[in-house]
Amino acid sequence: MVFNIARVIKKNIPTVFIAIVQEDDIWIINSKVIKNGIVKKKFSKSFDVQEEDALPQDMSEYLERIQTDYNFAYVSLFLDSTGQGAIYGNTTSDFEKNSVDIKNVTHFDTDAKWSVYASFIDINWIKKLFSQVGIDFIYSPFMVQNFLLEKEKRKKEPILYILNHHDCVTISIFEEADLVFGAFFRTKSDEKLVNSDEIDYWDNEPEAQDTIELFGRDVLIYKYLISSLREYYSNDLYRSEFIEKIVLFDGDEVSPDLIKMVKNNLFMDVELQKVNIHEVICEMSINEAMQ
Amino acid sequence: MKRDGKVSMRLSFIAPRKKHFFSMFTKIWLIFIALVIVLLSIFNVFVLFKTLEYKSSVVNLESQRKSLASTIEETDKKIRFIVRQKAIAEEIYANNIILKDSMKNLFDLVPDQITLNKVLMKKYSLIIYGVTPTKDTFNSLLAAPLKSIFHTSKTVFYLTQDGWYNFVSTNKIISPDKLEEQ
Repeated sequence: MVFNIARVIKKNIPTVFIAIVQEDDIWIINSKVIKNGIVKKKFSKSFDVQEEDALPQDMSEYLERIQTDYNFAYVSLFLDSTGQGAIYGNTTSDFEKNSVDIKNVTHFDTDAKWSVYASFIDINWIKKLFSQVGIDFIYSPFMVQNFLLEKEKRKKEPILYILNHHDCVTISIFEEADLVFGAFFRTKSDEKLVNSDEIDYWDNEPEAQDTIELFGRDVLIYKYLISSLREYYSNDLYRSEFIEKIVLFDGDEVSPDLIKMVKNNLFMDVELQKVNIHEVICEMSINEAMQ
Repeated sequence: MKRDGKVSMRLSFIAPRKKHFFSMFTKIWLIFIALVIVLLSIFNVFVLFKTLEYKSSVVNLESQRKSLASTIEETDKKIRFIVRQKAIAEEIYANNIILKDSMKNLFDLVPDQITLNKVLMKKYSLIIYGVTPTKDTFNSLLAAPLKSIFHTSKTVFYLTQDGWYNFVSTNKIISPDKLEEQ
């Protein structure tokens, strides 16, 4: 009863939800003021990343100002660091099977079936980065995907989902509500995360020779898709059921060529859905804060 | 995977910060105001309590005052009674002295030749019984002073066998009341 009263009061107080997503070297901040479930105000601002280990001074001030203006403020961040993933299962042995050291990651499960994780170092890094302005939620791209999936009708047959963010690609395979495979890749060009062998391998492909930058990134996505599928089909960890459909949540820009390539080369059905990751993050924080 | 109805569905790696309805500054103010209210109400209760206490003590004192007033009245009565008694006693004492004096005077008056048998002394009268050798002795030695003291003085003589006289002298003074009436 007390809880309900608190909830009603909470609902009627204007609350600001601040969604922060980094794209390239820019912090993009989208804020929504919600009162009684209705969006009262919207504002956004972006800041250039100046230092690696600190938020820009003006960004800190901006965030602090919003949080002083509104008593109830939730700051949420899209996690795009490398040391993260999602696996099927939630036990220590499940983590071991997937070569993840459970002691070094922050993790939680969904319906006790599948888990998402991120390295302690990354989470602590973010906590430290936002220690002055404060942070409420850190969202894994897998949870973003899952959140998008919940709006759809679940299919029994496995479907591969791709979440395309400006700096990273998240690939997961869902069987109904259960994630059975998850892979996360960064696509930011300045990071040398890509195995050189693979680059060599793809350099041999005629399609990769195209000079358009966007196409270059699409190649990366394509490559990660191939390697994910290869992993899914070849590794004994997975049931390796045949996948016919790909749903691409595009939070950036993919060229029609990529879709064409997947269709032609992999003989898979591709469904393209444009998504706004900022909006989704904001929606997730509203959902989580108001429950 | 329906979201609705689920009490807590975790989406984030970290738990949100605790949200407060009031800022630190407001909280300090509220605490201060609450404290003042509490202190004032404590003071109020104290004052109320004291008032009640005084009221009850007023009632007590009133009853005490009443009882004391009645005691005073009684004491006054006693005092008046004692004063009256004192007056009476003093009067008696004074009368006694007067009596004593008059006795002494009387006995001084009586010459050696005359013997008194009985003296009846009243407030306004004196009756003397006695024996005298001669009537003249009595008349000259005792009757004269008696006459000067009393308004009326009558003496009756009886001759005894040995030739002396028994006498009864009745002397009276008119009481002041009667004197006033006249």
